[in-house]
Amino acid sequence: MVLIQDEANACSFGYGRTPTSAQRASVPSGMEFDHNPTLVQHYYEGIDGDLPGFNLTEEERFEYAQSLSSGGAETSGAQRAQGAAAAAYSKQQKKLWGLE
Amino acid sequence: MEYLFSINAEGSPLLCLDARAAESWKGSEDGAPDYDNLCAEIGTCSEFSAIVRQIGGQRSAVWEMGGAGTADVFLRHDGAVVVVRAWLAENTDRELIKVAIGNPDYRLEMGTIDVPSGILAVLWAPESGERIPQELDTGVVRVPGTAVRDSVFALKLPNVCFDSYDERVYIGMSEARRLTLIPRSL
Repeated sequence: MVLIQDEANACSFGYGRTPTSAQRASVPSGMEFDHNPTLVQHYYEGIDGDLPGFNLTEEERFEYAQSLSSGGAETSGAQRAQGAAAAAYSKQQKKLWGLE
Repeated sequence: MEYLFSINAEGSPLLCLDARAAESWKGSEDGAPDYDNLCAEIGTCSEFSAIVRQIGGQRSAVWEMGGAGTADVFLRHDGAVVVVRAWLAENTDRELIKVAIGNPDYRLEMGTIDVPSGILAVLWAPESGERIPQELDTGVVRVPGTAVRDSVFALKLPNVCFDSYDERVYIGMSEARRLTLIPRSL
C-alpha cells in the first residue's frame, strides 16, 4: 500500500481506460457516463470514508473506475465545466502534497 | 500503425495545434479566460463535436472526447495522426487497434489545421500550452508540470498542414470517436 504519494499520477492514470462500453451504455443517449467524484478527486480523497485511490492497488482502482456505481449520466456542458474545476483541484492537491 | 501515447482528460475537449501557437493558450490555469471563452463559443452548438478555429494565429482543431477519460494517439504509415477515444467491449490492445484502423461509419470534414513549426501539440483544453517545447529531438514528449498527468504532449512531424476529420467507428460492441489528421500535399 502506498501511504504517502510521491507522484502526481491522478486522473485516469492507474484507473484503466474508462468509461467502459457498459458504463456508456448505462446512460441515456446524448449524455456521457461521468465518474462522481471525478477520478482525480477519488485518487486524492477516496469516497465515503474509503481509502483514497493512491492507497489502492492498481487492480482496486481499475475495479472502482469500471463499476457502474462509480458515476452516472452527465451532459457535455456540465463535463466541460467540470474540466476546469478538476484541473484547478488537481493543481491545488499537487501543491498541498508538495508535488510541484 | 504506431502507438504514440495516451492522453488523459477529466471532461472537456482536446486541442491539436501548432506548438508555437499553443504558447499563447493559457487554458484555465491561474484563472486564465481562454478555456471559459472556448466553452462559451462551443456551448452555442447544440451538440458540439469538433471545430477548427484560430488559436495563436493558426488554424487549430478543437475536438470533444465525449466525456472524461483517456484517448490513445497513433501515427499511421501514411503520416496521419489518429486520436482515438474508445469505449471497448473488451479492454484489450487488440480491440483498441480494431477501432483505430477500422473504416469510419461516420466522417465529418472539419477543415485544415496548420503546424508550421513542425511540432504538433495535443493537450487537454484546460491545461496551459506555455510549457510545450518549441524544439524536439525525439518524436514525442510528455509535457511535465500539468494539472493532470499525461494531459499535454508534443509530437514532431514532417508535415505542416493537415486535413482534419471527426469520425465514428462501430465494430461489434465497441465504438470510438476519432480525430484523424491527414497530411496535406502542398
